[in-house]
Amino acid sequence: MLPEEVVPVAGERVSFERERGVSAIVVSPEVAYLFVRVPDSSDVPQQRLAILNALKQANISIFLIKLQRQGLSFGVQATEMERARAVLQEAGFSVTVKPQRVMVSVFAQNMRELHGVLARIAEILYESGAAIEQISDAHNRVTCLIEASKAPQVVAKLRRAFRLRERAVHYATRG
Amino acid sequence: MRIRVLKFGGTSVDTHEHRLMAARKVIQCLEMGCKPVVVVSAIGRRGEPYATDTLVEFLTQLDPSVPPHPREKDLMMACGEIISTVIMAQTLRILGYPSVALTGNQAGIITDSEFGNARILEINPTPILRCLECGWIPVVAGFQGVTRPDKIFYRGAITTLGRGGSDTTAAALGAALQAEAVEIYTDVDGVKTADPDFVPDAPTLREITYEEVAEIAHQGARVLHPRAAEIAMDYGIPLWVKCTFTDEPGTRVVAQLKSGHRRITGVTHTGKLVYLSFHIPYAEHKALLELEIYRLMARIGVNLQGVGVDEEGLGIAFSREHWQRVRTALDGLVIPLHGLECASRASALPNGLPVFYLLQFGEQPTEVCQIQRGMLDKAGLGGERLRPVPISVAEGCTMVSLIAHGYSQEPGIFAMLYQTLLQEGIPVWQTADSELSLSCIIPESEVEKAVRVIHERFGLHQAR
Repeated sequence: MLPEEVVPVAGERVSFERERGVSAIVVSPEVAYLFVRVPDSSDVPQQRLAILNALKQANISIFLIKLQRQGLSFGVQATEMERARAVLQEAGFSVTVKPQRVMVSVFAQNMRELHGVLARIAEILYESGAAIEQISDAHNRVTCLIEASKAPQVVAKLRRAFRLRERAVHYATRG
Repeated sequence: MRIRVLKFGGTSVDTHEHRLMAARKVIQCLEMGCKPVVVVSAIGRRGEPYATDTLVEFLTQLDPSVPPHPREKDLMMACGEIISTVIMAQTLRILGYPSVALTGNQAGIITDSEFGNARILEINPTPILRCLECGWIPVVAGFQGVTRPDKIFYRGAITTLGRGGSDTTAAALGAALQAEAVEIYTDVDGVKTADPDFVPDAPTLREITYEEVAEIAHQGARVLHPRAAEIAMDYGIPLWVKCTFTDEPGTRVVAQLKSGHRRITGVTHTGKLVYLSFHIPYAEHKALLELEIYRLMARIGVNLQGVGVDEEGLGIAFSREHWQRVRTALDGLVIPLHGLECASRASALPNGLPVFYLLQFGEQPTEVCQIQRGMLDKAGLGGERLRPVPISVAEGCTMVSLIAHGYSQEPGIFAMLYQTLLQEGIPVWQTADSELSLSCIIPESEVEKAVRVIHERFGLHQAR
């Protein structure tokens, strides 16, 4: 015999599941970004490995790592910028450094199931005159590398666009 | 009342023998003095008669040119779980245990109206609690709920919860019923350090954090849907991943590891991806072209991963299921950058005239591109005002990820990963990293070898 009433009835209700969409912005300041070119175009992967090994030997942490056609790019803490440059130049690589950068990470649960968040972020950055110098995505965030001087305006616009409260913006320290 | 939610996936309910083994877990729960609430997925996987994919194919094959309405598609997909609940309830009844099959609606699961990917708004626990009070075992259809009543559907419309929806149902019921545990039963004995199809002796992790399991799931491991982990984490519900067919203890999902150590948890691989590399050697418009590409992908409903830029281009990856749609949208696309847009950045041409960017796959333009080019030439918009943006394509690729919570940015970790792949002759096309993982886009043909060598190199046989 089935229970008499198995359709929903008024009673105690439990509401849950987080709101979808952007929930926070994290700004990681004091970052430098390095573009490292390999000396010749033969066997670029092995030369990239040499770059990585040189940084490993020097005990330097890197992030926002992207393979470039002629080398590698990555971020380091600003305090490590000069050391990273010196290590790599000593190893024979050509290094371009972009100092005074920040990483702005926009967080949303299940980012990869939300259409258009990346496009909206890119729009806001473009409208703010901030070039996206590097970008990375994970399941819960999109991270953009921009000039530090543009960060306050970008963060304010992102906050407005995604209707976030002030407390949803966090300033991180690395390390 | 001590309540446990036991969820059985498709491979746990696909044969009578398997259902009996699942029933044994339910009976063991009763013998422990707990009240079991059972959640089931549809029976079997793609190709089997009542699997969700089979039901959808039945609908879409009626006329592939007419997509089904999302509401009807959800109604169709929900049938798989409903059939499964009735079969499972009957199995328990045959064994002498009174049970009742409930749809998501009957179990009080109310969702929003985003068909195909609905979010649970609330759960009325009363129907299930009443069943338990009556001494019945509720067998609830996973993956589904019902919208709130509206003017047309005064009892609401059936919705589905999207990928991994049955896990979400189980965790949500666990939260609503204040269960002492939610147990996710599958065909492996917990969360492994790698896909056991590739690494047969991959160890099972005894404990894993919610964050780690969410990362592992997002990076491709089919162990537990991240939404379920998120709900369990938010409500502090103890969660387990166990095997239906063994008595192994499984993996406990916890907020924090007892040891508190940073560690390397495993290696995962995602599904089939396509990687596109746009060559944009036009500095003055690169940012705007990238923005247009992001906008277009959003418009056609394609989510990107593995995104990265370099000085002359942009790389994106996406699921191969979207490939035809993306190809159709991009091939021969003309992006005109008008005067105003140009003026705000830099004029495209000395005389301030707009330019036309023509996206084309490969170095040789396709027929569509040639037509577009011809039309622009005829309109006097060709010549130096027409700029090609070649797109190179890697169709057969996938992503392998090293899950390394709090460890991924340690000096040398990425070097070690990259070296491991290179030593095996596995090309790496692009990378992505976060605090939780390091990922490489590689040819799909190399994925098994990649998973094996990374597992070996990072000593994951020792992981517990």
